[in-house]
Amino acid sequence: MINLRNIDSKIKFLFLSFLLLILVIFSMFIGPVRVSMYDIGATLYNETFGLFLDPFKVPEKDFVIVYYLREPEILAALVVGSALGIGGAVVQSIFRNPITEPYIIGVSSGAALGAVASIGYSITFLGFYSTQIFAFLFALIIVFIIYGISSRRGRVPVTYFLLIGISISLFVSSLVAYVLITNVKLEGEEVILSWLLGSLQAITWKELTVVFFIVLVTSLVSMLNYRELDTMQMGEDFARSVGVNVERTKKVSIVAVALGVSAVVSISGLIGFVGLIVPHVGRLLFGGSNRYVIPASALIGSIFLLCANDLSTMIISQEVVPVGIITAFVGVPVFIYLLHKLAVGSYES
Amino acid sequence: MKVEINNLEIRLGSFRSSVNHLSMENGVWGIAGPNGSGKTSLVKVIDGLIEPVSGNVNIDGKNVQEMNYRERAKIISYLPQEIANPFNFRVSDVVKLSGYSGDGNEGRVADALEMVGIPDLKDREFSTLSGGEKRLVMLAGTIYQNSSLIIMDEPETFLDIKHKHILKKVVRKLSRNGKMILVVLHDIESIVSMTDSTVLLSQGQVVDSGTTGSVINEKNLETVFGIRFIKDSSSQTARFIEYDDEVDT
Amino acid sequence: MKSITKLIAVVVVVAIIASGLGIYSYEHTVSNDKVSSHPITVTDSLGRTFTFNHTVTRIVSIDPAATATLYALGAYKYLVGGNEFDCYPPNESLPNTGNAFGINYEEIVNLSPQVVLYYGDAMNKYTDYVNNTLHIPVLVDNPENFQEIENFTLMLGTLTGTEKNASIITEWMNESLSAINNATSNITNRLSAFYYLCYFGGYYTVGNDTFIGKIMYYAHLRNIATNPCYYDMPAEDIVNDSPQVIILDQYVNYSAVEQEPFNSTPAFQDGMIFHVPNDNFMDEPDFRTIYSVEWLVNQVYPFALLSIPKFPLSLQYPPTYGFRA
Repeated sequence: MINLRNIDSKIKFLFLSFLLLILVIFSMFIGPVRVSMYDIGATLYNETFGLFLDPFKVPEKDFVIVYYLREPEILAALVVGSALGIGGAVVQSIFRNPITEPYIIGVSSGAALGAVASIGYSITFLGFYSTQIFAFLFALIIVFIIYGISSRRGRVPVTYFLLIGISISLFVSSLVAYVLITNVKLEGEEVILSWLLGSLQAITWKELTVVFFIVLVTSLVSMLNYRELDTMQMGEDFARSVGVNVERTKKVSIVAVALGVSAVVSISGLIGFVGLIVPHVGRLLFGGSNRYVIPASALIGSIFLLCANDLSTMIISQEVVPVGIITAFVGVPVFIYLLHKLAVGSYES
Repeated sequence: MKVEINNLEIRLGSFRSSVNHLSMENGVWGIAGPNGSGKTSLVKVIDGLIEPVSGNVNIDGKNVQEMNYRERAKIISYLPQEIANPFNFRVSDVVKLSGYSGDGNEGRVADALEMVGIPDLKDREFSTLSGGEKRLVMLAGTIYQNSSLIIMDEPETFLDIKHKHILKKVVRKLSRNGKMILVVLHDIESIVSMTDSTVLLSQGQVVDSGTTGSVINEKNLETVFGIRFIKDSSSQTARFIEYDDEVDT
Repeated sequence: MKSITKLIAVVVVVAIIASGLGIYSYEHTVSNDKVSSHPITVTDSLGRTFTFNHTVTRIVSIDPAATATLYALGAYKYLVGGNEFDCYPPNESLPNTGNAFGINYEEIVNLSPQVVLYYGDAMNKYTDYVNNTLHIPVLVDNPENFQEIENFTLMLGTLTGTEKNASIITEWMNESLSAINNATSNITNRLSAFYYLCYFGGYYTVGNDTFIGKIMYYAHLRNIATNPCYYDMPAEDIVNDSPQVIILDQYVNYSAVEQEPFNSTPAFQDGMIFHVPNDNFMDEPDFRTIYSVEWLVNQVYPFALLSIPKFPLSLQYPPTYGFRA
């Protein structure tokens, strides 16, 4: 068998980018309603050149489907997939633990609490429907509480952080469950159900633009930290001895991951599995260095989530299946297959 | 190169250690003593990995505690006792990590691996190596880091006879190239054969320090380890054999 | 490698910014099938007011109660999209626009409705999106009593130009409510009752503020579950409150009450246990809810000899379809 690790990284990145491009184009055609190729092409043309050149005639209906429904969904898959993938790569490096994922630092339970509280108690923010804002803020607050409690004499020992993170998350989850079963407004509430399962639907361009820039900045911060994150995989003493300011790296990385992942979770809900698995696929293809794993996780996360989202639309006609169900349902067998095929001894000791 | 320790006090949980004054200069220095005597704590303080409660460590007159991690990494490298398993790293990736604070150039990874006798492991998956091989890779890392002081914490752990031999050769060679080396050891024989000078620790205190020949004697060893040693007169080099009262010899 | 990441980032940024530009280049299609030409104004249960140039002829309903009401009004022909939970009228052949997980937005846009009907007590992410981003008005229905069901029915009548039928239905509802009141007015003590909703993980029941709780009140019962919402009632409280009546939801088996904490209650010993034949009549607050109150009264107080007026409109599927023969 060819060892994929030995292929030039540039070729692999080009291949992944090409695959993503094909998928983006393919996804433009996927949806419960059939929209003609002409109308899709014309809409894209009008969006980009319509201001300067004569626009093509497109029926309003097809324009709305392409511009308001499909494009935000595709871009959301890219933004959410990238943020979760990068978050996973960073968190696994900090904790030196292959079964950690970005939600473990408290993001998911905090965001869930914010979401159910805002729906359950009808909290609005400046008159806007505020689930997204509350999910985002609560996620950040819980992460900082966990970080604060874990801090010991200026250092945050990772095992300590992990344990505090898991226990606070469980604590917050029980609050979420309490609100869910005691609040009459949440009975049979489809919105909260689809939020908890994760969905890329009904994301507005405005939300998407804000989240995109947050993810862009936090991803670049994580990327700039790749050498520090690499050395931390050999243990914190080692990292310090080669000159890394370990505590600063941890702080900066966790803030970046918390911001990026909270932002995407606030618009997509809790899409599971991406942050856990995607970095491993990146490592199997490119080796362990975060120089490759971080950008690869962004690409693979986007590809994976886009595929899952297309499947979620195609799997039952006329029905909406939350993408969060598909990511685990399809992702687990694919990942186990990849692990067997590509691991080449890496995970055996 | 000169390492000077003044009024140092270390506290780690219930463990306490204090060193009033210790001065080490050039050559290969052994740090010896029984388990729990504070060997690892002492070298971690020297490398700035542990903050002491009070006192200071000066290297060539500069206070280690006041340097930042990068400055420290340029003059001190550290071979840890425990070796982590990173995700999917190759041997060359692991060695390169040690060049974090340097300006690192690719050619030296091969040189470092060559020096510790494992040039053919360059592209192997790090996690598939044996314990001894991993330690040699880490040793190559400390060489790659190219600092003037190298600290090795129990470098003989997991090494077989051949690898131990390589280690001794590497230490000697590094010393000849002008590096100062602090090596934590618990095997008396290795101390005698590898080091020029020795610091002998017991219960967090310095019992004796100086040339290895003067420090490693029957009296000091009995004080520190609580059992009697006798010098093996048949050996060319100094060699101590532990002596058991209850068996007639 | 870094240049590739940069390139991707730049492409994505450009795409997002570009797509925010020339968005207004599409053909606006105007619907020609006007029914009445004078403008109408309606208010939904959230108090939001909507004005339409004429009565609407293209409706998507994501609210089964609205679907049932439109059918009774004779406005079913204006419905272009239904939902997964619609069950009256039966054999629906409309495109499905929503299920428990969410809304099929593309289908809604494709059906180009003039209005979307939804159920809930607040605008949520879904309705916000349809209303504010897709610019299709969403009317929200959330009746908490019969007065509000009547208001909603009248509102749908105005919306579809079937005001006459709407007042016939609300009149019938008022007459039926009077009949229920008269029949039960001589009964001095409300019997205490427990509604057994679901037995997964405990004794799920309906609190006083839930719609079923209200139905129980209209049927002259006293709900022993005094919390506001749906909740799991402790077994000890059930024993202690010793309900005189137990109502089993459609999917709760009778065998569930043959054991503690129910077998010691007066309801079990007196055989006052009633099985809801079709929970749709309990769950969907529309004019048909009258029949669930009638059913409850007739089960619990047969001596009251309650009889409500016949439904005044002739429908292919009678409003009691699926509830009683």
